[in-house]
Amino acid sequence: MSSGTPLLQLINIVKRFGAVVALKGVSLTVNRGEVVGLVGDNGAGKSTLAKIIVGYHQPDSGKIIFEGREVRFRSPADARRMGIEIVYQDMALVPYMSVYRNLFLNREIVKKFGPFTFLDKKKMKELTRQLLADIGIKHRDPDVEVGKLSGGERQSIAIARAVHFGAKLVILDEPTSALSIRESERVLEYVKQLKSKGISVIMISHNIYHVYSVADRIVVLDRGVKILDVPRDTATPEEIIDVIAHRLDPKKIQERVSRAERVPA
Amino acid sequence: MFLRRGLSTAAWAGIVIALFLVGLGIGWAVGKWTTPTVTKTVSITKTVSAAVAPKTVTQTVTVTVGATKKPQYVFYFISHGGPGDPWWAPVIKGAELAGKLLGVKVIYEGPRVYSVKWLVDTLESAAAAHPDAIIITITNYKALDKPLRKVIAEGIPVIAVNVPDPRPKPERIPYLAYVGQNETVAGYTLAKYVLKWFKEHLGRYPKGAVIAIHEVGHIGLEMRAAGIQLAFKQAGLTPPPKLDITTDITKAYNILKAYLEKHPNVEVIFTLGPLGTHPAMKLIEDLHLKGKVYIAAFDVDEKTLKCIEEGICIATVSQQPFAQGFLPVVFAYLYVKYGIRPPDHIPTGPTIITKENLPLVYKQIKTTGGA
Amino acid sequence: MVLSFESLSSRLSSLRRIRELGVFISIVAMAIVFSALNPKFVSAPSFAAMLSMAAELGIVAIGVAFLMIAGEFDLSVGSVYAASSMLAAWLINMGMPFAVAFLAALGLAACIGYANAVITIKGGIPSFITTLGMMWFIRGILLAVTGGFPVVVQRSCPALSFLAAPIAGGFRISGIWFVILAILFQIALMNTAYGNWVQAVGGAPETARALGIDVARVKTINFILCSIMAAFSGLIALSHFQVVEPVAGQSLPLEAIAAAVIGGCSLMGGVGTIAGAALGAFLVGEIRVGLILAGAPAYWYIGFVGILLIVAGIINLRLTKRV
Repeated sequence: MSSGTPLLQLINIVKRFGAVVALKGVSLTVNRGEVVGLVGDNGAGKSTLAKIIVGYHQPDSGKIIFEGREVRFRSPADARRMGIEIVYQDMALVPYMSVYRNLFLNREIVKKFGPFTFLDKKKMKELTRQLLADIGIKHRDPDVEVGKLSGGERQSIAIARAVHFGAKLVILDEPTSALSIRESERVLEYVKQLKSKGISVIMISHNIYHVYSVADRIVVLDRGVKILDVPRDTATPEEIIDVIAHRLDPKKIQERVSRAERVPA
Repeated sequence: MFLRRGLSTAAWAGIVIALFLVGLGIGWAVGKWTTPTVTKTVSITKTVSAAVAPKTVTQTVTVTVGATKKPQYVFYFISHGGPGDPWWAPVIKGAELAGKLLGVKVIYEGPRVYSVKWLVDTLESAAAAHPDAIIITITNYKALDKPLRKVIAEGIPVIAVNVPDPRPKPERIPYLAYVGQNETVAGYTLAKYVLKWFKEHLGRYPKGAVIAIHEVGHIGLEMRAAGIQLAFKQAGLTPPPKLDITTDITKAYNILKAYLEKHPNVEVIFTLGPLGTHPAMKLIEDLHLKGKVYIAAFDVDEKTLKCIEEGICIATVSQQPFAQGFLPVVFAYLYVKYGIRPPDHIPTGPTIITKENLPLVYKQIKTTGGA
Repeated sequence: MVLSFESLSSRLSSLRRIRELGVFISIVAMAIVFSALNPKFVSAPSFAAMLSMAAELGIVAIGVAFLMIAGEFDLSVGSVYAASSMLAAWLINMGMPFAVAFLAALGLAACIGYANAVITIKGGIPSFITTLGMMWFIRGILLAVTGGFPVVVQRSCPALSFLAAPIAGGFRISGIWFVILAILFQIALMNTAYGNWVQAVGGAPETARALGIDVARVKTINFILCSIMAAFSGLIALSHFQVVEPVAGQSLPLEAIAAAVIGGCSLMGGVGTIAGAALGAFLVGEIRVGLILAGAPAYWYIGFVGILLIVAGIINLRLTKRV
């Protein structure tokens, strides 16, 4: 956790799809090097919020302030330029292509040969090897088809790609949902590494326990409204689950923040 | 390590080319090995009568004999008529029979779907086999001009069948002979016969006519239609229009029915093959149009002949397909073996089949499978 | 290089992973069989015939494969082949210089390719349907306009004849065009950024879009290139035969797709190489000539191609799924 100006501030974001109001004035702050767990039941608006942050959708009203300046993203490319990336659960990598091709997709390293531009495969493979080593995937050939890697490795590679290209804020959409326990651990480890590098993460997940293992703060959305925004240790995972399931009044937990109550770890 | 997946397809291409050549070598060797040549020593005793004393001279002649049962010659018969076309079945039969009788291996090549490209590609491939003769339909003389001249220049005799090169002798492809009749001439002859028949039996020309074509774009059918239209034009009549009846018999029936309803003055339906004759026959029977609308047909099959017998069909044209298969093989054989040059043109038709000459036709069908 | 058992078996498994392996083996196997059946298979005229057929199918297969890898089909290539060459023939007969006829033919193809792209992408219709409809539509126009009769090149046009001009030993320049185009497209696919995008667009279009690739633009370009290749092949055929029939090229789309698949391209996109498609086309030519020389009915080749296609499909599937 760090201090200083927040990296991202969403102020009163409203988003409508036809007659349906997906987000009814959501505000959110993400600090540098902070991991925010964004949770809530289906239809709560988590995906919509994420898509607005990455520029896929434009909010109907509300402000987005990134690194202290108000911004308006017209497309994901705009957001990417500012350093905001999203790693989708199942849309991160092209399974039939090799690791290095995936890593550098749409950001290929090229070399010129007269008037022609060709891929600099040597450099890309080298960088890929380095990156794989950084993530902790050893003995991996950059030529290997991504589809042949395990789910955890794929997820890590996708995140590493975002990081490598200078993301300051990475949004993870259900990163562990399709993974085994061992692989989930690996990914969560990697997420912690990101934190140590000063990169902020918003993690959307249904698995509260996974969220708990990395998050600094928990934000709960319910039908387009933010109903809870507390430091992680303010509540237990079970309590969060109860809040989502409408079995527990979120105000009771929110109060604890002002009283600086912490749940024993 | 060095055989990585990404390793240039170029290197792999090199390897496969090498293997390909090795494979060819192996195959070539195997091919040669399985056709043994046997050397026989034959003694020929010659009695030489000299003025003074008869001398007996023994000459030894070495004869190389190929493996048993090897035919004397190999001819390729390349035609635009493919396996699915019933008209060409007697042609294939005729060619194969001639081959059997003469000890010639006749390889018949016909397309699944005809195209000029198919014809030229097949010719060039067959020429690579350097056969003893090539018999081919000059379906498109422009496309075949250069390739055939090349084949002839290589010393392979060529006989044209079914479709000739229409240009005058000094310009046309220098094949040895042409066996067959022209589809356009067939159409022309039939139409002329029909017009004559109308004049003789009804004292006038038909008030209206239509050509039912069952495969638009099929070169043979288009030529037949063109011949019919030419005959009408020459007689000062409006050439009958072409009606696409498709190869589907139900569709054909309905298309013809609709056409007749719209054009009640039509008295002759020209059908370019059994695929047209059958639905037309049924239509005339169903609508009781016998005596009001006639059919003039091409090719011969049971139903068509019955149609003639019943008087619904004025006549049908036979191109003598069996002869078109049989004769070119015979002439090629005579040329290759004995050096006998065939005549420029050996006509095989058109034969107009009417009620009068039906019995002969029945015999032909029985014996050759077609007419 | 230590030839231990492990390194040998890992070499063999990387060998298995080469997508073109199937077509390689087939080419060599067929060569052995056909030359055994008729030693004349091993001769210059035989190769010349093979290469000539391979070139005309292959150039179309190159375009079809490049589009297939981007995840789309083009069944209208046969009709474009006929329409473009017919346009060129008409223009040449009218006295236009060859350059005009050539550009017009390619231009027509580009327009048809663009139309295919727009209808498929904007209309949301599967390319299979779009191009099937386009195929029939164009074919219908050709048949109606020509009345079923072929269009013959009546003027002497040396520039046209150059396209498929014979060079030594019965070979034709078309073989050279084929090889050059195969190399160019293979490089474009494997060694350029654009090629990377093509593979991504075919393999996982949503992912590609999420990463900022303009999927519509990539597909459109490939549709246009595919049609242009078909037109070029048509012009080569026009040069070779001096005539184009309205029914020309009817079996082209399926044969080109078969060549691509036999060469390792996946019908679902994202996988495959141009080199494979080119080899697939060569294989088809090899089988055609081999059967004729063996004295078998020439149309058996389609039966062979069918079996090879099925086998290739099975191999492709196992290669992609194998971990």
